[in-house]
Amino acid sequence: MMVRNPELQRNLWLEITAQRLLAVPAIGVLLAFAVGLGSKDQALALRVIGAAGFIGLTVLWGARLAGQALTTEFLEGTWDGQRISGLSAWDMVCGKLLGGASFAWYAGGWCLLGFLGGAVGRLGVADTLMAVFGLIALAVLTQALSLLSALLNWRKLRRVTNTRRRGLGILVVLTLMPWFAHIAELLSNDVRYLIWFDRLWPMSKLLFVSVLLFAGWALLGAYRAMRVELQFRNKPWPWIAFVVFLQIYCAGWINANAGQTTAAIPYLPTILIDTPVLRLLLATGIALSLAYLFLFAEPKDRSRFTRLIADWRAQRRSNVLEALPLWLINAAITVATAALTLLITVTRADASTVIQIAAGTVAVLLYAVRDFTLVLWCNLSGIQRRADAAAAVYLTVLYGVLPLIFWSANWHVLIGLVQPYSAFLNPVWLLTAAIWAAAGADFFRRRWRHTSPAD
Amino acid sequence: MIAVENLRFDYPGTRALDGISFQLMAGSVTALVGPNGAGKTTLLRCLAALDTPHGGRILIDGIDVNNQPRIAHQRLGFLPDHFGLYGDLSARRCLLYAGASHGLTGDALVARVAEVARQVGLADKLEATAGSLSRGQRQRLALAQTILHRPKVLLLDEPASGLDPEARSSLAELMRALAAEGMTLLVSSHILAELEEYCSGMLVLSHGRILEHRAAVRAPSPINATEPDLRIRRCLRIALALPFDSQSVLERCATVPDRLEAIALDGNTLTASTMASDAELPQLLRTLLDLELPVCGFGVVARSMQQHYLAAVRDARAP
Repeated sequence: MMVRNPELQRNLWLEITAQRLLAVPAIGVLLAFAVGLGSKDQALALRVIGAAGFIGLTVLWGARLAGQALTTEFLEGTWDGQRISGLSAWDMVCGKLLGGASFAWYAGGWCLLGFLGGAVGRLGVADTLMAVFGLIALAVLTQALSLLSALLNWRKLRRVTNTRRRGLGILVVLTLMPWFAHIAELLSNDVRYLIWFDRLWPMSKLLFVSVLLFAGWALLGAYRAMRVELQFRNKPWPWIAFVVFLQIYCAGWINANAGQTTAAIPYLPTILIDTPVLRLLLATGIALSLAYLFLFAEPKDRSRFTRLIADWRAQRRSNVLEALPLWLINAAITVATAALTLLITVTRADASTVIQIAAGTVAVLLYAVRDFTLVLWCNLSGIQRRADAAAAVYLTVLYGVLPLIFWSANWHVLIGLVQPYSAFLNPVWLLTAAIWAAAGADFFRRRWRHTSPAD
Repeated sequence: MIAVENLRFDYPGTRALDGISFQLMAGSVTALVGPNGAGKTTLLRCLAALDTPHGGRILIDGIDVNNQPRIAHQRLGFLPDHFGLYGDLSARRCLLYAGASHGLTGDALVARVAEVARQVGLADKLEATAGSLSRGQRQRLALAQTILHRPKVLLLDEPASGLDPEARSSLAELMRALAAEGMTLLVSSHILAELEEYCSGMLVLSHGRILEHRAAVRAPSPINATEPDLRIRRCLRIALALPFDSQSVLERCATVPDRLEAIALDGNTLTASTMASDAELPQLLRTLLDLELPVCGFGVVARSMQQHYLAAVRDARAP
């Protein structure tokens, strides 16, 4: 019998064998038996083993399998065949997530049964369901992130048979950390609370909703990346919605009791300011961080820009929207959020604070212009992978090595020459930022002209 | 069936396709040849809507590939040089998956799998895993996957690479059969002798540009013809007995414009290009004799695809 989704069916053919189907419950029964013999609180032990087993098998190993479902296609040369098949992007995503990790889901299902066995009569129905669906959502989140990461990596390094996904492990661990706290809470029956947008929220409920939302976004991200691979075109609106969601979500963690100074945000010097401005500063920082992240993650070859400019000149607005790189969209969101931040600051702070915030924010944006043009300048020169590595080295020297030298030599005042945060304290440093930005733009302009192919 | 206009494709720092334009007729089999790095694979990938060109236009069966790539995908099959098979799946499952992923279902899918397996000579190998098949068999399985959904255009990248002579001969036979079914084939290969067996046209690519396009063209078909009659232009060499009046000879030859073109006289040898098929050559000779031309020798200049290719490359290099 064929499953309706051919990609899922193919993965099931490859992943699920009679031996595997029988081995998992057999091992599960043996484990349960061992727990029954060796534990005083058998229900708690079952819950611990069930949850840990699901996290190990479906959340972590499943994420690896979901990524491998795609990287194997690249390595075996079957990906082009899939791209020109009639499969929809959704069929592909489901087929790879459920199918590629089907054995992890099967084994994890038995673990969840064990967890449920240990929860009956000990945990409330709502708590149990929240834990089970939360774990499932967590597995969807990590697997979708893994698939998304593989797709983005392939898109950037196409035809370079490199399937390592840098940073994915860190991302998954960061995703899991709050969830481990929730599991600990669930196991200890100790109710904890978190403050979000100045209100107390039960940690379990807030994490449950968070993981559901982020799983949804991760699935949408994988779906959209898959659409690009299948030659569909994406409009930027869902991405913009995600960035705004992330800005709001993260801003909620800055609360009125955070001290109301910019010290709540990493790197910023201490300026007294009220919570809404702090939240907007953080939101600006998030959009800017995403712009940097995608500046390195996306392909940046000259031909893409040429096509974008041609569409822009021909007023093909729809094509321009579809071809806009995400880093550029994030840069635009950064500028918009920064403008909103300044507007709100003007209405809520005295003149000197407004000048400090405005000078600092504009300096950060000008340094970003320098950094972006530097990365693009490197990318106009040759192989993109090396170009990004070279740009990363230059930025490390500019932001890390030089300030360290100035600091060590007690030339503290010179630090303002190489990083934007001094402008928060003294607007004069804005001039340095402007010079950097102008120099970066000029270098980029020269290389762009120099490398123009003769059409 | 395939129309390409001013196609451009750039890799970082390199222009891989530089303003390519050509048309291929439905039912033609065209050899895509050129030195390594000429842009053959890039061209095939652009035609297959796998890579998006940076300029120009591609029409496959009237579908603009850049604007509607997914519809174009339904109408074409692409066989990459590395075949792209799932080594752990049986040949039957490979074909079932390929068919299902193109929308075939149920009994129609099962029947089509059996039909295609028979067509490529793998009916008795359906339960073997793809990885256990010989290179020739894997190549045929990959081709079977590609044609399962009855594409109108088939793009093949180095299909004969690494095949033994027997497998190559079998592949040539298969190509001819597919062309006879009405598929339009564009075949990239370095093995020109093999291409000659089944190709009706040749596209020579070098440094991203077309050096020569010897296109197959549709000859006027008889009313009851069921298949297109595709022909390639050939060179005729006619020896004339001396003495004769050159002006008069040329004028008389010009009265058969539907048969002779690019007529030139060099000494006592008249050269011209013609679309006439082998069967039509006696009639052409009769016409020339009826025009009272002093013909003492008549023949088609046999020029292999290899010779055409080398001549095109040589001409391109000439200052």
